Amino acid sequence: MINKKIKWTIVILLVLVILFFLFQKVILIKPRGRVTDISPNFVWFGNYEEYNLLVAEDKSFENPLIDVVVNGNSFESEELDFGEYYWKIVYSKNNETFEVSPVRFIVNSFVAFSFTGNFIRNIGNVDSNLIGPTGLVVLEKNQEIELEKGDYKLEQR
Amino acid sequence: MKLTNKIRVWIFFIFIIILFSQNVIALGITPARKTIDYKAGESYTVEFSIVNNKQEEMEVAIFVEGDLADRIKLSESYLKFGANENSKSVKYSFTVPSDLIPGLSETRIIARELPTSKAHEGALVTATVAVTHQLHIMVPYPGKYATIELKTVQTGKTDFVSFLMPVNNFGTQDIVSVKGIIDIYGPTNEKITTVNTAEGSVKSQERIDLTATWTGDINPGKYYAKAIAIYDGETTEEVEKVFNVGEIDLEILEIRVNEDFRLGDIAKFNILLENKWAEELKEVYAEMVVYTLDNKEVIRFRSATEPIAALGKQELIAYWDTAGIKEGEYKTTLILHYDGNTKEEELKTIVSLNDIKFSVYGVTGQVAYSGDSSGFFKSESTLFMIVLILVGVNIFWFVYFKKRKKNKDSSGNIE
Repeated sequence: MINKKIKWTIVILLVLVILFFLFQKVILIKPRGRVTDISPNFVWFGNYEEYNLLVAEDKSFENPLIDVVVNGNSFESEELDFGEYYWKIVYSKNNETFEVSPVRFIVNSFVAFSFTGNFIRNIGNVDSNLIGPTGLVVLEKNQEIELEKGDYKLEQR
Repeated sequence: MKLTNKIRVWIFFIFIIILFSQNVIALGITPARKTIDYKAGESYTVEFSIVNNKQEEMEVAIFVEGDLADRIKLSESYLKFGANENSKSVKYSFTVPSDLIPGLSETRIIARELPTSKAHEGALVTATVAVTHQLHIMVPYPGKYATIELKTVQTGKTDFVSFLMPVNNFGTQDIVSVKGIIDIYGPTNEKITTVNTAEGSVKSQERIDLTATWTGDINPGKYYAKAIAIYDGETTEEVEKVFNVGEIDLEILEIRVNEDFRLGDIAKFNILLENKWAEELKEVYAEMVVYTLDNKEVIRFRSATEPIAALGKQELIAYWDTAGIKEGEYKTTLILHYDGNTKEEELKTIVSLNDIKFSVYGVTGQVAYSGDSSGFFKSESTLFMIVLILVGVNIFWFVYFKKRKKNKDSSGNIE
């Protein structure tokens, strides 16, 4: 019985040790992979005062597009162009600078519509060309227009 | 009477049926565009997703149009979505031919929902909409041909703006020298300054990032930039970019009460504000909420709505009927509403027989709130750590003492 308890104690202590080391680390949470939010919210986990968030189009971070000092654990960026990006966090601990391995994400364009009755709404993340029997109409993001009878195509402007 | 009620019920049901039979369709495609560099003979496989936003059963036909229509091999040309299937992936593969005409080659992969018996019930006219995934291949032009983009770097700083100008050489020859020129305009379209990028060179089918920095006395506001690049005697097409410097901010300069104020009269407040943003704020008004020191709301009143010119000052007028108000100290929350934003300031308020004076306790605007939340997160994390460690230590001691007690008991029994 006691042996079992000791085992459990060791397990709990080990979990605590792991948690302790996790708290010392900075973990990049999102964005990751493919996203369609053009103003992504960068979120990370860490327990430090200040972070330097860097976002660039390549892993070298030579010409970052975002280079901000953040006091919290998130940052909502302005609009990014569609494409591939890398982001990382640089932070200081005991006067030493550390950085987290970069995470890759891709901001994808998204052409989409909703169609209610005769009304079409652009629900994508990009202005689109609506090509139909009477020609081409630019449908801006969230714009809604009434459609005539016919076949239409919606494509990125 | 009963008949009228029945008719009403029928009308209601017919309305509901019509409302729900206005079938909502929602279809999407992502990414909507894939751009690849031209490499004759190179094979590619590209993946995109078709999104069923409505989460209803749906059948979709996929077909190809454009320059590479006869070379594209689709993994699927028909998809059937279940009601709980949000998206499905489609792949296509192709080999880039060597006989494409210089310039942009476009191929469109089109996804169109197939009409079902249910698809257009209730629609007043028949319209169908397809979504398109575009495949763009930039085929190099003979000679030298450059295009540019213009991006601003988000730094959170307001004393400089960094620009990044990617230059793509879509020509067959290398560019020896390229330099960007960026004209910056203010909110009223007046030219503020011109900044030049550093010079660089870029090989055929490659890209170079040129950088430039705008420094100086920059007011927070919305600006726009026009840029070109000059390369080996040629000029690129002009590109434009709208960008913000800093954030919209309003400052309270002064709050005055009318000089002939007497307690019990209607007090007239002149609230002088300064717009720190280099663009006009069209709809600005102030809302004042007065509380007793034990946080009971006394009164809430607001000023008229006024515009404030870019970097300008404006007085807002507000009135407070002080009938029944006693002399003493109060707390006032001044809420500034401007173009959909708000800013709050807590004011210590002293009401005397012939004056009302305001002084600032401390700013409690949006910045302070966000700071609080991050601080909370940090302190929560630390607290969580301490609690976990204490729990661990306690479990350890508990097990340790229990074991010791048991050992003692068992040794006592032997004796």
